[in-house]
Amino acid sequence: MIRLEQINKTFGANKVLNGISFDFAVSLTHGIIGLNGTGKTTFFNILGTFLKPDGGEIFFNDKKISRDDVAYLETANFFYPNITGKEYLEIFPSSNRQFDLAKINRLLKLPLDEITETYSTGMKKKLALLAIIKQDKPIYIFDEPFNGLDLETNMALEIILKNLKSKEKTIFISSHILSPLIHVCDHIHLLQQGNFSKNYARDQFGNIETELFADYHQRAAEIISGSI
Amino acid sequence: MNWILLRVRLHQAKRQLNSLGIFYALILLAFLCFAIFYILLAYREREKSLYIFVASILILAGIHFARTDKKFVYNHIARPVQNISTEYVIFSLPFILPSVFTSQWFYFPIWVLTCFLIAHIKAGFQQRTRFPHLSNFISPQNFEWLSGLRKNLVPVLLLWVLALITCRVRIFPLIFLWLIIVTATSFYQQCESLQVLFASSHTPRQLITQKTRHATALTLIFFVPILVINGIFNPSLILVNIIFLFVQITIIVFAILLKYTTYLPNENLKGNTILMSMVTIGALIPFLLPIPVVMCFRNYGKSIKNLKYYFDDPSRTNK
Repeated sequence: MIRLEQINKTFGANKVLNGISFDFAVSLTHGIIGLNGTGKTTFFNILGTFLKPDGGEIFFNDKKISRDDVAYLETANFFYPNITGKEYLEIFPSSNRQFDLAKINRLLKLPLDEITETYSTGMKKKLALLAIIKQDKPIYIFDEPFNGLDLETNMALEIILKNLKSKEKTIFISSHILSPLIHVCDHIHLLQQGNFSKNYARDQFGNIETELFADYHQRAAEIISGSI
Repeated sequence: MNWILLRVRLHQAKRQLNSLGIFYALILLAFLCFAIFYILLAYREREKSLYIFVASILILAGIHFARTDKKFVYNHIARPVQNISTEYVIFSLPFILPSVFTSQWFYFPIWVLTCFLIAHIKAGFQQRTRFPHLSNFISPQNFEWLSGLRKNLVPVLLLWVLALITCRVRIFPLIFLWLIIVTATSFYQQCESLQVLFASSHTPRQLITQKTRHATALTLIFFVPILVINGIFNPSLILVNIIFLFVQITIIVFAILLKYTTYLPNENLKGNTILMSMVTIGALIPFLLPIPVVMCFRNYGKSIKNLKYYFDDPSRTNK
């Protein structure tokens, strides 16, 4: 179990996470959805121990969560200049014994001997993804992993996520597009006003769109048709 | 003509000055005054003024080719050539205007024309992978050196060869080795991401120890052969060479400590250049030799303190 106890985070006057207390089941894939600025990345930064909460604690199997428990793919990836893709990957410890770079790169087709400045956005995302799955951790966080990926790699990422799940890893994933989450998640949680306001199990996924967007869809259609 | 680019640059300069603080801003001002005074004197001599002028053009061309905002400026700012050339002329005025008051006054109009011509060049340095097998010799964990040497391998090797060739001469090799250290300190200007920061170390002390060890080992590999040969040819300089080696290692350690004192994930710490330059130049002046050592002691605690903020792991007590 991953237990959040009264997690708070405020930036200036903006209370982003408002005393979240929540239990996430382990060995499942959890989708996190929410509008821009609702605190998804802040939540991931705190869960990944990249950011300290103002208050509250997170427990993983009844112990305080540790950086060693988590592998975290951030939304924006930064690469040190003048370093090749292969060298970037070598910086990270290779705790996943099954990880075979040559084999997986046959699928991802990255020019690993080139410096990362020559990579496209999607290629950079794939490289960062490789650095994450090279590590064997019980918890994986993927913040907007589908951004910038081509159709083939989108599919490959879904397979990677399913593979991690089959190894009983706990996965957190966010996306601005609902469909990939519906394919891979066991639960989807809506982050709203600093808290998880709604939670959907797999058999309720069909309701998400209608519950969240029915009203918005009608309103937006009226505004757009009258203004464009 | 709109002055948008100039206004942006002035805002940036103001921000950099604010981040420096009054002490370092005053030192920078003193350096600038000294440089302007020196240039004014140099422009009175025909030969020196030519060297300075050619060096200025090369520096300007280097800046123009390396600047990363060219695509944006040419695509989105009205009259980009005028904007860029005005920017170059205005910022170089303190260094080029003194020529007007000498017999070499003609350099000023040539400079303005050069700025205008250079501003027409839209091309920049093309990103390409040089020395792809460098990581066979330098571990990717030592990414600062790997990245820095990939960019500067040719000048560094040239300096090293020059140091080797001049080993018989008393002080020359030391000057070339010092220039290598000056280059190496620039390797620590760019900060890594948090992912990379956490990849190899669990605590700030562990990180600093590891970085210091790597940098010292590479400095020794570059410096010891030259200093030993120089010592054989000039036995009276052995003690000087040992002190020189110690000071150079201290400088590179200071570069590491300064980086982590001011570490911000993914940032390029351009603001550190001034302090770093003062310490490296200080190492050339005998009575200022203790400065790098003092600065290391001063920054060790500060770097640990800054890193603790990032390394904070709820499950662990940082040491």
